[in-house]
Amino acid sequence: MLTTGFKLWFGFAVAVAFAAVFAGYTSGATETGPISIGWKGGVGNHVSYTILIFASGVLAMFGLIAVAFRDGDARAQAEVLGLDEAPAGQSDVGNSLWPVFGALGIGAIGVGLVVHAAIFVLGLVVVAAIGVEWTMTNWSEKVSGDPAANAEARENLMRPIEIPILGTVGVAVLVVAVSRVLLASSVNGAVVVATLVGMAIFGLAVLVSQRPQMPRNAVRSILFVGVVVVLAMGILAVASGEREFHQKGSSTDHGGVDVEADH
Amino acid sequence: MASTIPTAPTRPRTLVVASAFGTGSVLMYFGGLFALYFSIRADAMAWGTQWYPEGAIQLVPGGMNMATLAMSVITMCWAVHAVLNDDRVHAMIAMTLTAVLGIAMVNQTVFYFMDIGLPIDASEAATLLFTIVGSHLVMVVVGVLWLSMLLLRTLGGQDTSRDRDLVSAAALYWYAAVAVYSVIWVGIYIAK
Repeated sequence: MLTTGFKLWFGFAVAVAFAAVFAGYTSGATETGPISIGWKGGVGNHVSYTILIFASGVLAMFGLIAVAFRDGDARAQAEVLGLDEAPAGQSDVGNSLWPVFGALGIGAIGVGLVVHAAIFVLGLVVVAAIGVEWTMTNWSEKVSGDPAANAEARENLMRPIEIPILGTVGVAVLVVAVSRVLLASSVNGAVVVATLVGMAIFGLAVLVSQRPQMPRNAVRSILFVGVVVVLAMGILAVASGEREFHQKGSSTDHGGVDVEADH
Repeated sequence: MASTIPTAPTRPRTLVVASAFGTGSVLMYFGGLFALYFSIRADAMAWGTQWYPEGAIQLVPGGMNMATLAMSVITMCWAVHAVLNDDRVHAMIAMTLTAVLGIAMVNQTVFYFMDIGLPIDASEAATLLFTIVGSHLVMVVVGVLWLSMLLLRTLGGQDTSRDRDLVSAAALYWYAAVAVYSVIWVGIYIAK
């Protein structure tokens, strides 16, 4: 029998097909052009006619999908599979941030194509990494019917890979961002910044180690804020530029050494 | 007939329905491109200006590509049928053949466009030609990547009659890619 979904989509398809023919004949079509898709005669306005014909075809495809898969009815699937009862639907897996990060990666690819090759490559790396992470999350959600066991299965597989990679990336980001800040600061300022950053990291590490009962979310929040602060300082330092470096001795003295000057 | 309920449950058909909507949006993108192409081409013809340089668009490469993709429709049907029957070996052969035919189509198109030496900015017609054919190449490449992933899943025994939604979705996408090429074949290669 024809399903409700089929009737809806196919009805739309027929209506849009009529709209295409109507648009054709009211915009200068000749002979049977709009009926024969331009085989005999003109179709009138090509833009409206082509878009409406494509829309009609796509809506008809939706109708065929609806009738072929019985509007996604689980009981029909059970019948095809020869089961007495319909397979249970997948348990609720909650929200996922991978699509958001994936979209950021694709956005970086687009921006990189226009702005700089490095951003393009960074976008590719992000998309590839998100692809792996998302695939593994998807796999783990089907391991069993228990969400806790699924999450554990994912952690057991991915943590030994994620932690070293993220640690390496974190160290690289810290080194690059702090080095930009030191290069942007004055001679004495760089010493002060290095001392303060070192003391802050050491102090926080001592604080966390002294409080083993501290919730994991609090530790995560501290690390997240720290990363954001370091990144923001690094970006601001890059935007303001490095301090001036002067060559010691005359301009013809190739044996001179770089020295920093306050400015 | 009594059977055991699968321990790892799957969502019935939602993947196929979502893929249908995704494929629909891709088709409408091509609909917009074709609308532009045919509209500007009709204006050019009405003014008596040359659309493509003489001999730039030849029927044989387009026809060969159409034949290649038409064969891939059959192999894709074969893959779906094999998965439905839990025939893993035939499913892998059919998926591999479909992917190879897709790669062959991409290869033929790239060779042809290198051969004709028509710069992308030579005219409006050339720009639209590269945009439409290039977009379709991307569509086919995505389909080939999808098939490669399916092949890996089949190799691991994950594409079965009980868990075949991804194969059905890929087949739907592939048929849409071939349908789009049939419009390119008629509207660009034959009608010129």
